[in-house]
Amino acid sequence: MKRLLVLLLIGAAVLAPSAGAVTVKLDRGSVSTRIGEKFDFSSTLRNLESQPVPDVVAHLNIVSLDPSVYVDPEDWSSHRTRYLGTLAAGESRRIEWTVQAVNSGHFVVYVAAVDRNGAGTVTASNPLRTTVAQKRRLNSGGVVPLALGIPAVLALGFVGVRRRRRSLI
Amino acid sequence: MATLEHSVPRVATPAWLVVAGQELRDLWIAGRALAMMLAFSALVSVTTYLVATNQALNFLEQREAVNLTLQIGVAVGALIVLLGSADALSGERERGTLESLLLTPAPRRDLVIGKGLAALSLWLGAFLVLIPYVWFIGRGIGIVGVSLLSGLGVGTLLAVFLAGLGLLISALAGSNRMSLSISLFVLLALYAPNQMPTGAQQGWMGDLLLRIDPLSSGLHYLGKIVVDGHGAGQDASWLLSPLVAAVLACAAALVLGGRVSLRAGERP
Repeated sequence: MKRLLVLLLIGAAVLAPSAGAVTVKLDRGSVSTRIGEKFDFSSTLRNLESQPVPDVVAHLNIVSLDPSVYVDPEDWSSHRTRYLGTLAAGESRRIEWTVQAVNSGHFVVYVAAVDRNGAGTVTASNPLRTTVAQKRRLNSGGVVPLALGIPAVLALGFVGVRRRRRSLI
Repeated sequence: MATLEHSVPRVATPAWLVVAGQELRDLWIAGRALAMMLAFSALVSVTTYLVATNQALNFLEQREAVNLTLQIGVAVGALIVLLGSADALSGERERGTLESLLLTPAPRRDLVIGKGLAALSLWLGAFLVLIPYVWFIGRGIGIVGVSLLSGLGVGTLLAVFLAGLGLLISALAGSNRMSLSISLFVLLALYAPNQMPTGAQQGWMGDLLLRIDPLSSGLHYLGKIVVDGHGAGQDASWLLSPLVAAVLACAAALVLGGRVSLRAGERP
């Protein structure tokens, strides 16, 4: 009897739809932005099964395509994991994401759907190819003559005025 | 040969112009204004050097760097005007020269106008000093002209407001020290909303506070033009508060400054 119960439970776990039955699709395939700027996109998770899928978790991730650029996804978005609960049969759920580009270069942003229990497979979305351009930075060359020159000219003017006043008195 | 002699009526120079000329000479030729400009340029130099060289600050985008320099220039330029105008009447009172000034045939309101104009010249001097710094920070991205024009407009509006406020406080204060203390306290209070964390500036309450405060709303408008690249008219509603404050402060200064008189014990 016990063996039968164990077999039934294993069978139920295997047959129950997991996050692998969910598809994830992003609303666009590419984005170009500048470092420091924020951009938005949405993902749609859909349960293709005829049964509900419990405890679905959507997770955002960022991958750098340049080996010299290190990406800390936490810097890009502090709200990367969404716990969606149960997706009913055929149900679609749209999730909005806001990401800030904190590195320049070429990246892929994607959303993965997983089962909260960690069972089943991980489903990933189509890639959002992200190109982040450098912002124009200030060329600091020549700042020292300016920073010293203008106060120096004013100081000379001030001393000249004081001397002239003293000579008049 | 007959000659016709026409008597040319002599046009008297308005009293406020005479007062303004005298005050300008006192300020600029005596060197007091130059000392203020020297301190101002030293501060803007340090800011510009840090913005241009410091790695942490240099993470700023170039438009933001221009905005930072311009905002510091406008805010400190306005502070100089406030210091100049806060000394105008209470300083005369303290130096014992108010009596002789009141004995001149110039109407008291003209004294206030003349002193106010002289105080405003400090802002124009500060703006001239600021020009090369803004040019240096903003060169190459085509925003120097618009930054300087918007800075001049907003700065002048704030300078007129603070000149009026300083004259008002100076007319009411019993001593120069009191006048300067109150003026600086008011100025710090006016800067406070602009220094709040970004989170606190969100929502209708934060927005309202920024819009009511003339300094914060003026500086916010500058940021919209310089950083966000908005047109001059797009965020013009942010200039309402500095405009109203300038009109009210100047009107109050003219009314109360026009009644300034010696107090008991002030006659030498």
